[in-house]
Amino acid sequence: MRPASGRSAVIDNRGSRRATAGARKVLRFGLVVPTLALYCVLFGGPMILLFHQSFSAGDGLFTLDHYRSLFSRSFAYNLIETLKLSAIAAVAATVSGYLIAFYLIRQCTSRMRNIWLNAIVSILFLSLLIRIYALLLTFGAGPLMEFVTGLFGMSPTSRAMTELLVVLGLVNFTMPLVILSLLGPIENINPKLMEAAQSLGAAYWEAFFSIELKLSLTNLVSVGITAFSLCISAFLIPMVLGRGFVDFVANLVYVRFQEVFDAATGAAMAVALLLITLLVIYSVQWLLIRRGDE
Amino acid sequence: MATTIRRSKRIGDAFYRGSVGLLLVCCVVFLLAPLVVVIALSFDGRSYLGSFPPTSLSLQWYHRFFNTDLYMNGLWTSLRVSVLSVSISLTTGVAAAVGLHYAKFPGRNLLLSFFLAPLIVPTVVIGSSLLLFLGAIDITNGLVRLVAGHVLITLPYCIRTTLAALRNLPPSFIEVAMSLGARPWSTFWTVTFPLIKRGIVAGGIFSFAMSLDDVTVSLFLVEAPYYTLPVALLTEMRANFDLTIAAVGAMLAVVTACLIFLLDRIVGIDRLFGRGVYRNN
Repeated sequence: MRPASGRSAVIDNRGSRRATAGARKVLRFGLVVPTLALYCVLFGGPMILLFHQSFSAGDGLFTLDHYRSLFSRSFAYNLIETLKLSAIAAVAATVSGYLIAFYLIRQCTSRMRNIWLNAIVSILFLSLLIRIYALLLTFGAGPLMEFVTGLFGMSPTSRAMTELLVVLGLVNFTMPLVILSLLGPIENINPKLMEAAQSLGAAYWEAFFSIELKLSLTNLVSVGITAFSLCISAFLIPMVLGRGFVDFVANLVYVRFQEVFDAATGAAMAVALLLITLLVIYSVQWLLIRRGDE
Repeated sequence: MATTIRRSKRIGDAFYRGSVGLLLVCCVVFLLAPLVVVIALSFDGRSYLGSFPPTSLSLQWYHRFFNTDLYMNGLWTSLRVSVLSVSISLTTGVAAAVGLHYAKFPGRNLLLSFFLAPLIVPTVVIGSSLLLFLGAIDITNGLVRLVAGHVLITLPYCIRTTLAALRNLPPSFIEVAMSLGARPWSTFWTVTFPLIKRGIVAGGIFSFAMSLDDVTVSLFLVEAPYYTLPVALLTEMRANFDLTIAAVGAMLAVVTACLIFLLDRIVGIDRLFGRGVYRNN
């Protein structure tokens, strides 16, 4: 039953069950050892060093100085910018992704659904860098955008438009994921419930809001929070689409490490980013567990 | 009275469906229009960045891509780094997944969450911590640094897809083989492995795609003279706006679409996602 090595089979023939079980346990653990070693070197060690660096004053002394920069005005500004734009993008991606997923499941023929799924998965698999570049080419500048923004008395390179461009990038990044992860939950709701409500006199939109939306609300929230967590750790999107106007926390970390060479403050910022992301992700798990209890 | 209510409901529904339909069209345009623009502009015959649509067509940007050392060196490094790191990740990751799946040792779940943890850690944190660590142990070879980073970002995917394939395997298959006298070792190679092979291949392809596409971790670890193609594209993108990147994008889009088409034929995209209980058609 267990995939173990030939040696354990030999022991098996000797008939000593206890020895076999012990040997198998060791062998199974042996299969895990190379990966564990890789993780200790590539993940565990670096993470410990990152924490150490963020608290180290040199010569083994402990300090909180590097975290002081996190309470500066400029960092607070960037943090708020990160959270604000991520929240807007996550809500937009979740709402539109939900509507698309609902359409694909309920109002689409299976042939059309397959075509759409192929398109969505292709977009998901396509290089993020290329998707960002495509957005920059399409919405970044050009006469069309000048015309559209001109209607609102703005320029395509203004700060507000840059923020909008970053939000569009984040939505483009998360929407395919939102759609794909909502397909299953929507399909698990019995469509007859909505038909029943309508036959009892509810309007389509009333039935939609009071049944479909209500039943998939928890999934929507957890998918939305996941999208939010992806957005707040985004790096490439604000780097390219932000054009130097919009910087997320991740970009500050990069600048500290690779441009200013202030690794200690960079490490403190990286730790802060990690903690914020983990906090957001654990809130999803907490939400799902709490639903499981009910 | 009843008719008025019914009519107002009908107007409400029409309004609701109309606005939802409009939103859907906007979303589809938003997702697909940039790709159309990139593909169209990659055939632009003008030598500067002009307005859309292009006024003349040519293959100059494709020509330039294949004749620029910057991109060709990047592509060569990218391929080497991805092949090397995916081979390492696949071999160790599959072994670890098999070990974990059949394991009963204490701390199994803890180990599994440790192995999957890089998936939730922001890539910037992974990149910066590796930068510190590789600096501290004095590894300056660019290729080794990149492979180290790429192994870390691909390993979790290899472990996860192999584990998923193992979980989908009915235990009765293995019990049958064992009851017919097969030894564990031959059971694994004749029953288990052929059945999870597809999952392993899917994980390998996915990891390869992730590795080829990675920018963030590579950006922290690049060390002259080695740099990956996405890093080269990003620096060009920020330095001067040239449409060679659009040509790369168009080629990548075609390759991706073909891959997805194949994947659909082999596994079925429909079966990978959104398998709910109620399906009306």
